[in-house]
Amino acid sequence: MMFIKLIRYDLRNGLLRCWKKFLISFCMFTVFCFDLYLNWVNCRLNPADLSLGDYTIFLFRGMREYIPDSSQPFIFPILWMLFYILIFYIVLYYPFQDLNGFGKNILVNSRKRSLWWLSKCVWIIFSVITYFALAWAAAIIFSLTTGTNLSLQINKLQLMMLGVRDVEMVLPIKNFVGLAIILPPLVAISMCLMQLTISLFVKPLYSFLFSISVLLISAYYKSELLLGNYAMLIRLDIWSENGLKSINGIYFSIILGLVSIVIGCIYFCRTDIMNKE
Amino acid sequence: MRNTLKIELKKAIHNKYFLITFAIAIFIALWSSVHTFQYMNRIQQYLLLIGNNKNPNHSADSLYNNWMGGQFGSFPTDLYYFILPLIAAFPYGWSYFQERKNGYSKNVICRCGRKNYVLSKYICTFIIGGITVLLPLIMNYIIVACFVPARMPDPCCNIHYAVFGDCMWSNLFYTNPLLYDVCYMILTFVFGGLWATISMMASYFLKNKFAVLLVPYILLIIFHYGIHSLFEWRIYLEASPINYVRGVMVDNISKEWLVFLELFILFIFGFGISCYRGIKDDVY
Repeated sequence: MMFIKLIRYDLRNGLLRCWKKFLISFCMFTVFCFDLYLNWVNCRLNPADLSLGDYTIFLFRGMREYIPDSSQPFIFPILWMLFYILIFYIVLYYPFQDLNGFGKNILVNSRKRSLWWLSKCVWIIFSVITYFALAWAAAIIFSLTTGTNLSLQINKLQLMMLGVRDVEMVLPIKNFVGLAIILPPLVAISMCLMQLTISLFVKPLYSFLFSISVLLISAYYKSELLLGNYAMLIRLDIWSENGLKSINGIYFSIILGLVSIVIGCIYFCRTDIMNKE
Repeated sequence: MRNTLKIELKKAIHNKYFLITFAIAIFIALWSSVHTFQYMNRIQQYLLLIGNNKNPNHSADSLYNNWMGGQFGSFPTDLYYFILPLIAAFPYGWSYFQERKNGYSKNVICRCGRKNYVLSKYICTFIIGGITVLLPLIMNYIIVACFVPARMPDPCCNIHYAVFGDCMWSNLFYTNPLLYDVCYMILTFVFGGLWATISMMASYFLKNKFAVLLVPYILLIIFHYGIHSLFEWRIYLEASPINYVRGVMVDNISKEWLVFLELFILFIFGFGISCYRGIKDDVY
């Protein structure tokens, strides 16, 4: 019962009261969709041919594998990075604000530190789900406004523009939809939980720095051990035979998320929390 | 003013944020040097392998395109420049906000006056922000110079240097590359300093330390996105500081007037708002 009360408290204070951050994110998602629309107009293509699936792949595509070369600079996938940087920032402050404020009383009343910690983890999961729901909502509203269809079928031209060479070998649509809905939020949840846990050990600003570095290194190196790779739909095995196995991404995210929760819980229960920034 | 500045500098250098951030920046600079060392080793092995029969293309690799500011295609370098605004702001960009919040500023202002306090804080934030990004670059330059020859850049190999005819200070690069690198180091110092003062300026508008340091950075990333994705069909000049503080053309061509205009705007916002609000606003 106490746990449910804690979750309600966190959702009210960390989610509902932070509506401005989510509103700004929603506006950014709309701009991202407009970006794709503009790309098509500039290529003299008909934007009416776009679909919801195109907007989805545009948001979560990431970048193709970068092969380091002394004559080829690395251009980071700014849209993809911005998308994740925003959620890292949104979930960074609240736990520490709470711990230094009214949350201390809640912590004492709950009588168990682990409940407080788990409640913050649940709050992160809800925040990330809300964030991604807003991204989908922005894509749907933009599609409706511009008269594009709500199908999740991806346009072949769009695939070719993203660099998918063998367009015909793309897997059935439901596989793509399943992955687009599940994998990016799962990776984001797990990275946000990792950020929360790391911020117990070092200052939260440095855990944010670490999260950004993980994103950048994932964009730079295609590796199964770098979680960010699984958040880039274009690097998955749905497009090419040598792509990363999506199922591994799901397992990896779940394991990392659980490990972060457990380590954070153990550490939080034993550490001195007074005046922890 | 002099005493206040001295105290501010002492405080800035002896705080954990400065030491940790500086250590991170130095670590990345060392990592980049190791990366360059490994790359040069591979090149040497390759040259031994091909013998004297083929053109070794010596001018493709020089100190001037292997130090951090002139390099691309190396992860540590890309990471350094991507987080450079954070490296500049973390050491001391938060201090003005913190001192206003905990009441320390009231005590200092009583003793030395508002103008002195705000000006000293601005100068100190600028210097510490600039130094934190500059020193790792100098260190990397010196280390790389120890094992990569400073061959004069050959314009025929410009693809390896990514400094083309239209680029900012390109004439200087092919005539006096050392001066070119020094100019870019100064540019990085100035940008780092000004960016740290933007966090100081943000103290007047934002309510927590995290926001003071991170919101300007997120706005910069949004600006970068606007230039490089949203309006990439309209803007062909490098307007993003993340790219133009590097001595290479990463995406678009940088121009002196645009760089100086942006730095001037940063100065006007940072200095103007910090001083105006700092001197006018009531401390209580």
